[in-house]
Amino acid sequence: MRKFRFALAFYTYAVIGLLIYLPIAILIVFSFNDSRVLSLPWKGFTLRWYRIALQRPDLHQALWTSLWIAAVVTLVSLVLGVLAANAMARYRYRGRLLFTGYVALPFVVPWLLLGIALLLFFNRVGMPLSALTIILSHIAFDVPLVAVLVAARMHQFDPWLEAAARDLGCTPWQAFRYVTLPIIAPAVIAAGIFAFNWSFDAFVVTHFVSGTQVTFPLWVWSALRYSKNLPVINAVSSVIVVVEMGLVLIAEMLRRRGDAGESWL
Amino acid sequence: MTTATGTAAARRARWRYLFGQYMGLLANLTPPLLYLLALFYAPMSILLVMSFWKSGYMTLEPAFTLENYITFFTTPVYLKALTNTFAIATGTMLALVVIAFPMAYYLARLRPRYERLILYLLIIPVEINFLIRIFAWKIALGRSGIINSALMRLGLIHEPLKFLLYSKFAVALVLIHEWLPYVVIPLYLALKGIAPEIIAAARSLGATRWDVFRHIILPLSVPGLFASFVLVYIPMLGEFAVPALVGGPSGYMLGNVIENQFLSAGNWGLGSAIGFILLTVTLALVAVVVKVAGVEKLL
Repeated sequence: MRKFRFALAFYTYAVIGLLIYLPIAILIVFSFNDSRVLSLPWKGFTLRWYRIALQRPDLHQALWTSLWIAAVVTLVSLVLGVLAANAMARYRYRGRLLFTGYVALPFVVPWLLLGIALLLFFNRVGMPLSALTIILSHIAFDVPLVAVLVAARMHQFDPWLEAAARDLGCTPWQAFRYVTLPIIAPAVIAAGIFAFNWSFDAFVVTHFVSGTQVTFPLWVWSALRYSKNLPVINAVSSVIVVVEMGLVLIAEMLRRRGDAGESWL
Repeated sequence: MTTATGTAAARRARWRYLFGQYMGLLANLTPPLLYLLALFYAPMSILLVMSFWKSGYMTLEPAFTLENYITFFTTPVYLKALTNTFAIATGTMLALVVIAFPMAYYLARLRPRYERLILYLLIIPVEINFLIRIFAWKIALGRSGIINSALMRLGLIHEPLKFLLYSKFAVALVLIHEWLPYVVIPLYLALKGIAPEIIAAARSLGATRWDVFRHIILPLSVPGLFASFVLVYIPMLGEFAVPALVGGPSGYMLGNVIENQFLSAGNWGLGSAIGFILLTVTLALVAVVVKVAGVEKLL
């Protein structure tokens, strides 16, 4: 039994190490390798690629575009997503399950299909592809994400708390602002971070609706396909990896504080 | 008298309350409803309609035709991509379940501290930009990549292993990397629900470890399997970035055909038709899973 457990533990850590972390580790380590070719042998430590990456204006532009688009998308998605979560979790009415399905359906549609459908849509309504079409598209997949995450949290708290607040003379807005919001705040913040990440990282949908706008994932995509300067992408990617890992850790910690360690999905 | 006015007042208060609830619900429900209607349901409908339009290079006329569907089902390259897609997705899914099962089992029986550590280890990489992770694999797998150059220096091989990159193998490997957490975690949640007493009871009644696995653990993990199927198999069918970057010609999938029709070949009608075929398959699979497993178990 002891041996069996040990074998299982070894297996689990080995799989996580080899299949999930090895390539990421290689990426980061080789961003410091003083060679244009991403290959062994090791040619010595350098920060050259980071310096070059810092000086690329197209990269700065792409990062900036992704950042502000993700910020706008997150704000709008939080508002619409919390409204949807309210309607999914805090009211009892016929058609509640139907509405939940309506909001969640975008989850089961592959992003590729959402991308081409939005491209056709913008083309039909005569809207030129731009940052605006990217934003509108990202909100379409971020709203379900926020709604599901926040609704999961709302399902866990006692609806009578808000009824009690109303009973004691709060307006609906006050009851929401001073009772509900503090309870769901961790989930809302976590959902905001995930929504931001989804928008910032969105490649598939953006690929179809971006026109000439270059977001960061699109920059990576074209760099990967056409660039000779792979070590620079490597350096940029390493920075992004570290930042994103940090953000997710924060989001997860907030979400877990909210959930008291129960649900993981 | 007083009771009558009392009930009337109570009824009025109740109506006012219900009216307030109703308005509140409408205020919450309407904006997301309309947004998704305009930017999800309308575009998907347009996709469906246009798949029946007469279409050629950069042209699209509103004349009903089945031509796009006929073209798809009579062109060998497209059919090859279709079978390729299902072969890769199914093979990868099976590999994922086999790889993930022991991990989920281990995780479900672990002390909370380590349990949380492993869950973090699994979840964190998911949020790293996916293209970057594909790129990381390209560095590792390439002809003169890290794995090949390391193996050659160790003297284990003399020629670079060619199947590592631009092959079905590469696509499957990167997909396993991408989706492993989404298979481990639902399975883990399902296995965690099995009371250890049940297993102990079975063992004390003379069941072998295999019996326990076959008759207790496996059946009770089925909801987790369904959940991971919805989370993983379906997006894999619509994959195009992975095959485009590491698949080469042999790893060509339906997603690449669709992308190509929209962004290079300029035949939007055909692209829509293929997209709609993919959507139909996807939703049919979801419907089957929901029917068999029940919605509650998936949420």
